Amino acid sequence: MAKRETPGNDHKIRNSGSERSYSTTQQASRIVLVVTAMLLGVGLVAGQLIRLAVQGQDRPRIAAAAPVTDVISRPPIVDRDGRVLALDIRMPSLIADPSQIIDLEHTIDTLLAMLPNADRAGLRRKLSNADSRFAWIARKVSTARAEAVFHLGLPGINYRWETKRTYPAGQVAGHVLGAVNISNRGVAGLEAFLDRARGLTDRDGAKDGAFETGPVRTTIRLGVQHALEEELADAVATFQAAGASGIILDARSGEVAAIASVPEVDPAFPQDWVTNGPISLATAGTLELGSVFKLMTIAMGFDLGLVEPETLIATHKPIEIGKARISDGRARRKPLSVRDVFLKSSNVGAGRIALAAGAERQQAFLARLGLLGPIETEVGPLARPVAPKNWGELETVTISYGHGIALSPLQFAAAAATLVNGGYRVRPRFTIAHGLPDVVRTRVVRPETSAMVRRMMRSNVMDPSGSGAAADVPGYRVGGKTGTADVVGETGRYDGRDVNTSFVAAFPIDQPRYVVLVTLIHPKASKKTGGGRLAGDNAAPATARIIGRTAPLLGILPEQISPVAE
Amino acid sequence: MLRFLTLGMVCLTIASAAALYASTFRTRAIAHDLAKAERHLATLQRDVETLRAERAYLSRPERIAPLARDLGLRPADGTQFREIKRAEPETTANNRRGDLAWRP
Repeated sequence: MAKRETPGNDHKIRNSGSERSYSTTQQASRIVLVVTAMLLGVGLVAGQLIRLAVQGQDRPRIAAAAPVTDVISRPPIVDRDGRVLALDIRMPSLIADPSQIIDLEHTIDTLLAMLPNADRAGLRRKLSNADSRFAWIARKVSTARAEAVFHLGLPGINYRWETKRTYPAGQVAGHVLGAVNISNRGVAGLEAFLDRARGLTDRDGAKDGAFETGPVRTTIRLGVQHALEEELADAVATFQAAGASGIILDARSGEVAAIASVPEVDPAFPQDWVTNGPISLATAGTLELGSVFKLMTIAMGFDLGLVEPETLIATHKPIEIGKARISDGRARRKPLSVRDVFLKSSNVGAGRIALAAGAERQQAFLARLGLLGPIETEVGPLARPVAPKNWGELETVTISYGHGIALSPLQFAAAAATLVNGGYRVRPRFTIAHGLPDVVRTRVVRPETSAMVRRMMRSNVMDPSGSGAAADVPGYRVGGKTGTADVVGETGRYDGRDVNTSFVAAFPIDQPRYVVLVTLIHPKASKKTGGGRLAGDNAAPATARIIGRTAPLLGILPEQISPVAE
Repeated sequence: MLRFLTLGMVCLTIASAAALYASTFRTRAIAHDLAKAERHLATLQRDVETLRAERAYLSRPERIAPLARDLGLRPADGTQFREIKRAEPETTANNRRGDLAWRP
């Protein structure tokens, strides 16, 4: 029997018939160890209790399969008045775990009965791979259909919620809104801008970037946009045009109240148009706009102090530069005043003013108005202006009446707004308080110039000899300028077969609130237009209809009405 | 003394374990209720989103415009605006100041 003795200590413990002796020091240290361990245990339990009482439990997490695709949530897009233009809704998608399917044929037959659009071969291919644990059966179906399939109790068949972008207003403002792909990421228009500028949230609400949530408010007004689209479609039908674009722009802030392009696109079906569909004629394409450009030329003449409205210009003699000879359509016997150059849309008159300014000053003036550089907007960059590399005398003359320079209608509309609003530079905007810096009022044109241009625009509509008489809308004091541009034909020359016509208008002209630019692509002459196909025959009356219909929606009171005093 | 201490500690541990178990049980019940409420909330949010989309769809101008035309309505134009003070109520034989006049 083992016996251990510690010198100087004879205390012994008898245990189960066997005798062991421990020293008091050892015994005490073991007791301390046991007590410490027990205290530690109790302490841990107590600590956990206190933590639970004070902090509560972590937020419980519901176990769920990780998303197969990285689908993100997008903020709603609303119009200026808060009406919904785009919205995420959750829709079920039918999924399968092929490894759990017991009776493949029965499953396929049952699914085909419930999903008439599914094809048997496709379903068989997806479901017959027993090694696979996941397959899509049908994505983004109705809730009723998903639940009906789920309640059949087919082994391995289930559904999961996915986010679907919807555009409840239909095709309205399709080009502005853009589109998203199957993973709900923006691929065009405002949707793509949101991805770049605001950041997005994933399924669990975790943010991609540090941006606030909440709806994105656009400058578009749904009612105005619809009216513009309807009137443009009417104009295309009436004047047998190949296409059209229309813009209603706030002349002071640059907010785009409505912008449309025919043919239209449907944001809900991006596969039909994003890569190869009709582009927005208002923003993504460039056009030679023709005589509406004389607005710029004559404004330049005023701003540089070269001419005044009654200055006479030698329009009765053609301009000859090298072999080129530029004359007006009809022979003139005497000079025209600048006012008449504008009203009668004389190419020679505009050309002579531009020659007096010279190429350098012309370029500088157009650049000040923002007509030569790129413009970035929330719906993407505007099509870059196409200007001649060698800007000589001939180019100076042709550009004075809108040939030889091509740009997007929106870029031109913004420059026109700059001219009529007192001379403050306007940049087009599509959203409110997001993305772009606030409007900085930079004056680029003298206010006297702006006033003279406004008077001319009004004369052009009011004067019987003006080209824009058809654009008059009683009560709204419209002013404007026509433009009919020859189109380069298949031969690469201006063959006179087709034209593009434009009308740029501002109203109420004394203190313009809105600028409207309507462009018709290849309109045809008809009995309705009296056999003409000039802008005064088609674009001007179309603009009048648009203004007459949208001005009340924009809150512009007609002339005879003053704001209600009481 | 030591035995009492040990016994006390064991009792305390058992009591703590019981309390912890009860607490965990309650916490799980609450977590379950919370998860249920969150699922319900998600369903309601989904419904709200769907209803908002449906409302916007039903009130889209493309649908309302033809309905309004069928009712004989047309877009407003500039001639339809009048100042309120000029808008005299029409007088009729029975009501000389018109129906707009308030009578106690």
